[in-house]
Amino acid sequence: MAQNNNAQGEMQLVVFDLASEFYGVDIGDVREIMRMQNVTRVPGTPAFMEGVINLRGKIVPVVDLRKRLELKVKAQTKESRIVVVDIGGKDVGVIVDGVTEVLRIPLGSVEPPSQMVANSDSGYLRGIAKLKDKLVILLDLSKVLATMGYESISGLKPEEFEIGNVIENVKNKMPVLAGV
Amino acid sequence: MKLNADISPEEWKVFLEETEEQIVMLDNDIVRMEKESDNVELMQEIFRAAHTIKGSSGMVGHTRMSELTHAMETLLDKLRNRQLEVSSHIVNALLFGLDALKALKQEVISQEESDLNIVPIVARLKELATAERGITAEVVAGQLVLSPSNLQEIKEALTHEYSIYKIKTGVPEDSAWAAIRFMQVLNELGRLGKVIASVPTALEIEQEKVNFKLEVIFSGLADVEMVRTEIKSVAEIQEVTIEHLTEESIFGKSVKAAPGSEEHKTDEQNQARTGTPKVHALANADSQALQSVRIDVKVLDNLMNIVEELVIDRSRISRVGKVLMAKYENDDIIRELGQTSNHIIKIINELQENIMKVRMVPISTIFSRFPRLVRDLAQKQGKKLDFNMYGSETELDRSIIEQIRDPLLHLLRNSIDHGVEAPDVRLKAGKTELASVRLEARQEQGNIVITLEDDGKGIDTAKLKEISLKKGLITPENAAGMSAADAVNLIFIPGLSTAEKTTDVSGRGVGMDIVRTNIDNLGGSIAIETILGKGTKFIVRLPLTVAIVQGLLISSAGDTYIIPLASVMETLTVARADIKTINQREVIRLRDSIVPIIGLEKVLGRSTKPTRLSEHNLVVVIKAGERLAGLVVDSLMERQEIVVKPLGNYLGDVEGISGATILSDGNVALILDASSLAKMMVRGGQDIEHLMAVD
Repeated sequence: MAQNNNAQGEMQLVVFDLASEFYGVDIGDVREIMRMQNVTRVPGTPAFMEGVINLRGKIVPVVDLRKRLELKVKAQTKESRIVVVDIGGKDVGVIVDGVTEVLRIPLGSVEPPSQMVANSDSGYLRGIAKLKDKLVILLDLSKVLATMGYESISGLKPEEFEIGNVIENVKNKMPVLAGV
Repeated sequence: MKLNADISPEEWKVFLEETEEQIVMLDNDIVRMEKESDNVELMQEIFRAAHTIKGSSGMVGHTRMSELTHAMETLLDKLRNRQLEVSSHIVNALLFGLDALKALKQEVISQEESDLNIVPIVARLKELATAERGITAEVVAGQLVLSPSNLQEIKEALTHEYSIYKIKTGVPEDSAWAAIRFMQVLNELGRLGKVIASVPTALEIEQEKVNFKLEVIFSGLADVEMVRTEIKSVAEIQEVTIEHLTEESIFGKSVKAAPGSEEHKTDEQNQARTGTPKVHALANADSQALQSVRIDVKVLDNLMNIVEELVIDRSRISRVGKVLMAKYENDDIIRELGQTSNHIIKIINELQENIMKVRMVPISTIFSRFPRLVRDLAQKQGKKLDFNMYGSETELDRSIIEQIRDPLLHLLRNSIDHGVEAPDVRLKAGKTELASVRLEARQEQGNIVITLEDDGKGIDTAKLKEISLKKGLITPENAAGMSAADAVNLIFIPGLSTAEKTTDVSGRGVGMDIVRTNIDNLGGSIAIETILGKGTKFIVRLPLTVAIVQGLLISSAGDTYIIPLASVMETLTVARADIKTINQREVIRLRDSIVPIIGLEKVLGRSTKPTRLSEHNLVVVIKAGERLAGLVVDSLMERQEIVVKPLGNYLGDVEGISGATILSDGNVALILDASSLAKMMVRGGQDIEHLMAVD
């Protein structure tokens, strides 16, 4: 995964909002942020597969990140966005509640996941950035989407994936964070 | 000496090999040049050799070599353009330069600089090259002389009923833009027809070797006035005289045909006069050398993508155009917009056709591997084969070529493994020892037909039926009513194939279902003709291209889908009363066939409820291999040319869907895959399978 770090030990994040939490992904992985558009459903795919869209002539699959992370499903709003990310050379769109900002954060503000959860099988959590006004969960989207096998997702059981629980875990174990 | 240190030993090797090759060629050709100064091709070849060395020596940083070859090249350029006549002086100087070139090449081998001084040699070459200075003044006085290839071109033009004109024009003598004006004239003429020859030539004009007169031989359909108007549209152009040349005037007397015997004199007197300039097929010969370019496949795919985008926009423009035209019928601007958009659509069509052409690859790219493979296989099995291939120049879209290789290989292997008998068996059967296997590709209308024919033992359809019965793949009633021609197709039933290997009853059919699926996926078909004891023929039909197909737009449960027209048998409206049920499955009678029908949304798993049948149901009958199946849809929309795009690796294979396309409103629609839809329908209902296998 591209690390968009500069000499001062900073990283640049695209911060989006999902079920009232802030998530950040490395800006180097983000191809494009689009307004919601018509998504064509594809039969025979898991529920979190929203469908496919037309990205300037290319067919790009779109994942509903709320469903993928097993968060409460909510209707899309005007703020909803499709964040198109580069996953191992393939474009995949994820639907988020809204894109908040692009942030430059010092690396020092990031708690690595190993310190937060003992049994960290959650490779998709890169850590949590503690900023003045908020916490940003650093997500490795390539792992989130790869966990279900991005070569082919058909035939994957949704219960194999439980990042929603993992995040809950993280918060419970770290009262400091949970208190914010 | 100073040589480029960045060059790897391998690259030096390539450079040396190439240079050596060119020097050998020059050695021969420069000597020939003295006798064959009219040989246009020879002059081109010499020029190109010098040009090549100049380029490659420059690249490796051998300055002296590139300087020397540059001087040679300049002189040779003048010679091939007939701005100079070949003389013994020139040949001597060139040979001298060539010797120096050999010495310089030696430097590279020994990596030691020689004391060779190229300055006087270069100076001499330059001096000879500049002797043409006086020429341009004579150009106009001189007559336009046509080369044999020009004359050929004129002959061809005349057979197409084109008119041939000799055009003379000029610019004021104080014009600073003569070269530019002349180039514009040639461009204008190029739009009307073809410039066969001109004095000065296009190349000379480009190099600004012009005075104030221009003479052109032109062919085209345009009449004199049209030509005159076009030329006069260029600024500064003064009077234009146009002479309509008749066939006799060209081939009879008025235009002197080169090479005239008195034209080329290599004696010095003539040389000093710098002979009559001749216009010849320089541009032609030049472009021939550059006619093919290697292109990265990725670039090609990119281009294809861009064109696909345009094709999508084309539909959109045409739709919007129609709406606007209908709404503002009498508005001039809208009309103009309509015309422009029509023009753009035409251009996009042409672009699309051309790009498709570029993607065509001869089937020899896969055929060429077969003889070796056949030989090895036959040898291994002790079979004697006469293997022949025909039509390997037949062209197919690159993506099809890639996907047809394995199925063809499979068929070929089957032919040798099971079709063709061992020599002793053949002799006993009264056949020749040498078996014949024949592979042929040819184009038939919009299709490519590949046939594979052997004179082996054929397929025993009776045994095929027997096996299918035993395996429960067909019912006894099915078997009884099955003709031999139908029974052959049992070979494609998946369950049958795998067992074939061990029992080897008919001796065929290993993985035949996969072969058929692959061919189906390409939008093609496969048929078998067999005579027991005589041989078997496989006939594979493929579309020329898969990227763009004709599709039928339909809607089901609020979604738009596309069914490739190639898989659509017919569309019909079926009344509720005409729908029967067999084993709780809906079927309809279509002529002699019983066709199962089902709601599309149900096949695709979008709805689990039983298909709601109304009084009148829209049914699209699709054909997958030999099977027919009816899909109940909500509505039928237009037919459209659609661009097939892959769903991408992320989604992997989606059952029932072969790809997607972008509709004119920008939305994505899925393309249905008839063969996998048919399979999905069959699943969980063996009865249907039987019904369909029968028909």
